[in-house]
Amino acid sequence: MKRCKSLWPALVSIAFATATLSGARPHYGGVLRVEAADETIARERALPMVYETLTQFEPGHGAQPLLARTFSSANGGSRWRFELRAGVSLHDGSTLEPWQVATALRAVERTWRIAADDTAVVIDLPDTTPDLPARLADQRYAVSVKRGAEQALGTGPFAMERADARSWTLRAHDGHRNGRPFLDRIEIAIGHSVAEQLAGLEAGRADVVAIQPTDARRVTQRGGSVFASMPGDLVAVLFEPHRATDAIAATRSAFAAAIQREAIARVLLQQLASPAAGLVPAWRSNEPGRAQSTLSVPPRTAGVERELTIRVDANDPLLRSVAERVAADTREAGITVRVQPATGLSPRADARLVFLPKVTRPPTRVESEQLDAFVLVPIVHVAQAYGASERVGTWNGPAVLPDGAWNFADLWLRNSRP
Amino acid sequence: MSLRARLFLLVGGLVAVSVGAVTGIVAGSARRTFEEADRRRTTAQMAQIRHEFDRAGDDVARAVERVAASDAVQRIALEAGRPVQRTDPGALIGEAGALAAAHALDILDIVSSDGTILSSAEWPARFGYRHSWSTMGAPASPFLQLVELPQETALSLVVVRRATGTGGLSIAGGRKLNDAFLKSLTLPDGMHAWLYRSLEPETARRDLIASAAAPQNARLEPLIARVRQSGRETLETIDRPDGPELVDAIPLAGRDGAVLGVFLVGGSSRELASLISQIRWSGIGIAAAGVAIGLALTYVLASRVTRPIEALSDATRAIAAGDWNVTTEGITASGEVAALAKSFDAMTRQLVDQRDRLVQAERVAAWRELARRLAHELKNPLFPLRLTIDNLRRARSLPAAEFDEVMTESLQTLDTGLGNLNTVIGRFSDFSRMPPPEFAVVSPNTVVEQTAALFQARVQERDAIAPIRLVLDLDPDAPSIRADGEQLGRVVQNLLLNAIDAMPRGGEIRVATRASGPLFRLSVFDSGEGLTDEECKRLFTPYYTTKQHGTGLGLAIAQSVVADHHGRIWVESGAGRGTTFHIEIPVQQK
Repeated sequence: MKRCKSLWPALVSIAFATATLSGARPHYGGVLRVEAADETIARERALPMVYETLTQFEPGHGAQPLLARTFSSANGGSRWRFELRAGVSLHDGSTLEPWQVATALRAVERTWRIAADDTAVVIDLPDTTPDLPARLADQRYAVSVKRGAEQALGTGPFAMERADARSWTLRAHDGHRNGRPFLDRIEIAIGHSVAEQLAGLEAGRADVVAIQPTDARRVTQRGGSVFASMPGDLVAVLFEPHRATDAIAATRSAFAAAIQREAIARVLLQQLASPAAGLVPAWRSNEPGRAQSTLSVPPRTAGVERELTIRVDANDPLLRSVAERVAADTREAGITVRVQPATGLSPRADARLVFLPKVTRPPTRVESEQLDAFVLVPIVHVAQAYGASERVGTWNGPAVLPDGAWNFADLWLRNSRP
Repeated sequence: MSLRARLFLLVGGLVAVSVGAVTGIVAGSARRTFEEADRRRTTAQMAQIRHEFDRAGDDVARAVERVAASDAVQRIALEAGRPVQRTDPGALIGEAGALAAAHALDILDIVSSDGTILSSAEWPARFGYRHSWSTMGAPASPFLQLVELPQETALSLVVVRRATGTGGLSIAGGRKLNDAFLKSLTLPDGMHAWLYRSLEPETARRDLIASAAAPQNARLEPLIARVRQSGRETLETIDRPDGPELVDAIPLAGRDGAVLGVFLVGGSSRELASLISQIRWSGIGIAAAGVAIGLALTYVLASRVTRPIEALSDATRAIAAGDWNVTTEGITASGEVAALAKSFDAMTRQLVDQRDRLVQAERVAAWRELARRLAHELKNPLFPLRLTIDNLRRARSLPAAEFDEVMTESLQTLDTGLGNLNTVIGRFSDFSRMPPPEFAVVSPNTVVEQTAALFQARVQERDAIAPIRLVLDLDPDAPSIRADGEQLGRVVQNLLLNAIDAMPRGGEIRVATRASGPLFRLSVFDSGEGLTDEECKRLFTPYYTTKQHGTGLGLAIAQSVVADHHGRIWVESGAGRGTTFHIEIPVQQK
């Protein structure tokens, strides 16, 4: 059933659907309760539903139209023209005009020359920029139209109704070009840790929460469902400066080769990760792979130290699980790795397990050198995973976009009424 | 030292020694008793802990058996038994953790029939690897095993069981021997337990964990090293700052006999040390109290006994110094002391009476002696006078020429007799009217030499019949003294005369002079027969003599001269040992 622009048909269809199918078909209404750790995460995840960009990035397909219907370049990529979709309405019901898009973009990039005509926005750049459409998919370039001092209107399926440090409320945008969302509202409670969010999901306090990949099975076993982005956050081992010398290069190489990345991604992280060959995930870049992911046991060669310590945040179950698997893998290869919880009085470790969120840019020169010398050893890219309670249903499209942004326009709630 | 001080020291010493002896005996007895009790307690506690070990092993075995028989394991077996392409190994990762939590196990591994880990509670990430210690002929009973963990190697009590009906799944489970295990042991007050895990070849303190309140720096490493090497239980006393502690150490062996750990139980000797300290301090306190009581008793005794006794002693000394007027009327006493004081006064009065009577008697005796001497001295010269007068009377009838001859002889005899009388009277007069000394600086050695020279002739006269040797032993350092040289010479003369008269059969006379600080000493020794005590006492009494002739004034005059020179003279003699007269005169006269 397609989302309707008006509520009334939805009510009818809901009434009909209720009489025939119990909860199997989506219906309108209800308040989705979401929890987030902090305002930054809420901003990154939720605002794309409020303020849309000209384009969106799809893995394997690159930049795709969103607010822009089409886009083309000239002058080798230093001039771009974005034709806007017609009839895109702002949250106050007015129609989005090209000049408003131009104004929004100028507020972000002052070096660009941005012009607008009746239907399009033209951007002249100082240099050729062949990947401008992909760049414009970033939330930084989201289109917002200011009305008054505090109100900023968007074009997304949800409008910001209320926002403070503890909670946000998004209401459905009835005039969205793709139709009104099934949900009436989304209430986002801010300030809950990942562990608290999982507890909230299990207690019925929340409908959608962030989860660790290692908890995905637990959610599904309890009747919930799991949404995930594409793997984008990097888990890697970074050797400390005093162990980044050439003297133990052989040890680092043997260490890197011993890690079974496939098992970590497929089994340990329950297929919510992918083996990492570089900083940027494969679906985002063409960076050549450096690390080995096959199960190869390096021979016991002279010069390879047989004992290492890795420091890990003891409060992060994801990193702890990965560290323990790394220790198991390297033990089979003859290198004893001790996992050391990070406390103030711990002796200096040889390396630490680091979590690098959402690496999208290519490595710098220094990072490349670290990768080549196995000072920085990528292990897996981890997806951002969310657990949803059994009352949450999906209709069409992913609930979480590849880059982790929420896409709750197609979510609906079972046993709810408008 | 006064009687009071001696009394105090005696009482205090007795109390201190007694209390000290009792304290030492009690402390030693307590120590021995405690040590024996400690040994028995430690041994009994170790037996109980062995029982606890067995019980813990049985608990682990039952828990693992429950896991092996659980539906969850059956489910895991089903999942593991699926074809590879339909198996989700990730589905089993958390199973062992949940089962371990439910059955209170620290270690739980679910192992497939080929020895591969399907799920591990203590190391979830180790799925897919071979299980090292569950496959190699594990015994049925619980055993100790060093289990590798991501952060450590843990000494654990483990057991392996087959899960029946699961196609060969094994369940390897156990509990760590760690702080929690030590805490679970019920130890009596004062007992400590330690667990050493043999994680390294060398004995290291960091592998030692202690029960609550057990001292960390217990100096157990040497004992642990010995037990690790010998593999035998050892009972040893460890010196600790708060006292020795008896420690029982038993080796914890794995299934192949290797010592994987050492369990130690010790009994704190703090109670014993506290008791010994209490006994000691009690002893000190009692001794101090005893000494204080002794002081009080001494004070009471002093006021009642020693003070009167001291007063009596002072009175005695005063009397000895010549103060015969001392009485004990001011002394407060009772009982025997009062009777003693009364007796003392009575005795003093008697002594005074007797002294007075003695003095009077001596005076009378002296007068009698004087009268006797005088009569004797006078009688001798008077008798020839009487005879002469009688002769003259008879000669009246003789012719004039014969009468003149008789008259001339008689007048000569009368002259001689009167001269003798004069001499005798003169001597008595001299003694009664001794002139005061005329002090001048004289060399006493010179006086002695000059005086001895006067007697050389007399000594030589005796050479033929009874030779006398006169020896002068004069101190060349003897200083000149202020004295009356003539009187001093007369004293030496008297002493030499007496010495010659005391050796009728010859002998030796030795005259010695010595300087002795502010005093000058002179001694005259003769090797005669010596004097009796009675003679010594009366020697210096005027007119007392042991000779047939002599006035008996020589030594009395000598004593008077020495007294005028503020010195003293005394005699030492004994039968057959000769006689020595000693004179002491100050070098400087005041």
